[in-house]
Formats: sequence, structure tokens, C-alpha cells
Amino acid sequence: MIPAYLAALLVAGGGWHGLWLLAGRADGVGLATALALAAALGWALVRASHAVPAFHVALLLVGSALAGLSNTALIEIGAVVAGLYRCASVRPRWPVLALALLAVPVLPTLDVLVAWPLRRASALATAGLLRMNGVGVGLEGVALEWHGQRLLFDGPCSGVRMLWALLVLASLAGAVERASPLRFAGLLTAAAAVALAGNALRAASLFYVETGSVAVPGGPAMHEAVGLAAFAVAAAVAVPLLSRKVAA
Amino acid sequence: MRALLALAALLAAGAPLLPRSAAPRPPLHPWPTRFEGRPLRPLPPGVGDAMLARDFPGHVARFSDGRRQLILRQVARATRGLHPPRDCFGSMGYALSPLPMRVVAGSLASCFQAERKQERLRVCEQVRSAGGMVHPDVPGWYWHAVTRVDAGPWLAVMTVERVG
Repeated sequence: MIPAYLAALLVAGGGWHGLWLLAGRADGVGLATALALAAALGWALVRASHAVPAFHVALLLVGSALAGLSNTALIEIGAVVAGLYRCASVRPRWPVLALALLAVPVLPTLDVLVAWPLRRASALATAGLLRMNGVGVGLEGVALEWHGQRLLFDGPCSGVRMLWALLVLASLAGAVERASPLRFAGLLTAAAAVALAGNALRAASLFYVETGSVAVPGGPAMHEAVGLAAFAVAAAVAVPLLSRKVAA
Repeated sequence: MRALLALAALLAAGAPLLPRSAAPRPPLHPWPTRFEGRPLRPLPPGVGDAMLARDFPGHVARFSDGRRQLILRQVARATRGLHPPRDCFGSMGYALSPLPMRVVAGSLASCFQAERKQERLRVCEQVRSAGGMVHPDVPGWYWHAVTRVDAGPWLAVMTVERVG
């Protein structure tokens, strides 16, 4: 057995490159969440009085080595963060690990890997919502077509940030209720579904604004306001849904 | 166990330092000489070009059409090394705000405003395929390239225009 702080030092030393990459990538929201993560891990390690099995530390270091060979920044960062969390925690739990991993600057990667499938899914859901409301929109790729107008789901409309925020919320809910892995998987699925529905709601609302069907002042401020309102609705739906078991 | 730990720590710390073979680069195709009817003049690499070229399995060049700068990147496979312009400007300290899509060279391009001190830029991006497909941004291109719906090769076009 190795004292937690010593195990963390070993893991941090072995994963120095991941930490260096993390420091280089943290800016904006990513910087704030990375600093919060560093503070939480530091606080947990300073207070830790437990020990970590030496075999676990060896496995974490081997994982770090494999991550280093992957030549993929996010994998290296994820390996060292997961390793440090394992050292800082007496009884590691999946939702807290997920929170730690969501705190690293993951948004730029999500923007590339997830944005387009999200846009496509949101466009399908939005077209469905509008058709249910009697608006006969066509759909081509990620564009809505209506009376000769094309309304496109561009990058900021993909809902990646809403998805990230709701995954954080689901992880928090899972951590509070000490969710089992199966229950936690359910929470993540529910969060993803709410994010998709929330984004479709936002896009459908913006459709009425952009096509002039609703007489409201347009412009970027209205775009932002509709986005915030849709996020508020999604969060309002997600909170009771995710905390159902806690209340019970 | 101590020896095993020391070996594992050494492996972990040393793995990122192992020499790696550089990603193969596709052959360089001639750069366009005109864009939207305006002649292109080559420029020396700019401040952010090193960032764009980092781990990029392709070719990068900067041009001016007299009105704006164009950063062109040639790539022949799906890669995360084709960084979205948004990431590059964000990491250079610009405040970003989304702009509506615009038509650039006859096709839609994703745009944003980048602002730093007194400098305000309009940046637009699109990825043009040799087969004629045009993707209005890198995320849209990435999935088409991964799934081989669009076989490439591609020319990623970034236009940077001073607006204030």
C-alpha cells in the first residue's frame, strides 16, 4: 500500500505530459473547470489519510504509458486525471470520475466529433416538431427548407454546450445519489435525450423568429435570449428527471 | 513491487518522448491562383500558422487577395489535425462571437467575429472537396471524411477580413 499523496505524485510524474497538455489547452470555460478540478483534487489529496494498493498505482502508470503512446492529447489528459482521481478517492465512483473528465477542456473536441451528428439529430427533431405544429418544412442535411428559404443549423446551434452542461448535471445527480453504474448510464442517456429535445425546441422557436412568423425584435440578442430560454426549459425538465431517485 | 512501480513510472514518463514517425503528407497540389475572381498573392506565414500546422498531415499556405487574407490547407484524410479556426483564434486570446453563415466562393461558409483590443476580424471557413462537395465548417467535413461519403482530397479555406 502507498499513501495517497505519494501515489498521486507518482501518477502525476508518470503523466507529466498529460498535465502539460492540459495546462496548454485550458482557456475560457476550460480554464475555469480545469482550475476547479485541480482545486478539488488538491483538496482531496491534502485531506487524504488512506492508502492506495501499489498494484493499482502500477496499473494507472501503465495506463498512462499507453495513453502517451496514443499520441492523442485528450486520452493522455484523461488518463492522468483519472489516475489522480483514483489516488485522491477512498472509494472511486463513476459519476465523480465523469465529472472530473468533463472538467478537462473537452469542448473543442466535442465540437468536432459530436457537433455534426447532433446538428443532424436536432434538425430531424426540429423538422418533426414543426410538422406536428402544421408547418410543412423540408429537410436537407442540416438545413430546414420552407417557402424557398433555407435555415441552417450552424456550429453554435449544434447544442454541444447544452449537452455538456446536462452531462455535468447528470454526473452531479449521480454523485449525490451514489448511483450504480447502470443507473448512472441511465442518467447520462436521459441527459443526452433532454439536450437533444432542448436543442430542437430552441431551433423550432428560432424558426418562428427567423422566418418572421412571430413579430418580435430579431437580431443576435433575440437569438441569445431564445437559446437561454430553451436551456432554462431543458434544465427545468432535467433537474426533476435526474433527481427522481433522490427525492424518492 | 517497488521495482515494478519504478519501471511503470519510467515507462509512463518516457512514452511521450519516444520518437514518432511523422504523419505522411499527401502530395502538394498547386495552390489556387485566384479566389472569387481576385488574384492571390502568397504571404509569409503568420502568427497563428504554426498552430494550424501542428501535427497537421497536409500543407498550409497564406495568401492575400488584396482585401482579406486566406489561409489554405490541403488535406487528404480525416484528421483532428485540421483544427477549426475558432480554436486557433480562441487560443490566441480573441473574444469570439458567432456570425450568420455567408456565401463564400458560391457556397456557404461558417463565420464568426474575432475581437482583441482594437482589432475586429470576420473569419469564415469552409472545406472544399476535389469532388465538388463544400462543407461549411470542419465538424461537418470531419464526419463526411471519416465515413468516406466524401473521398477528398480537400482544401480548407479560411478567410480573415478586418471589419473595424
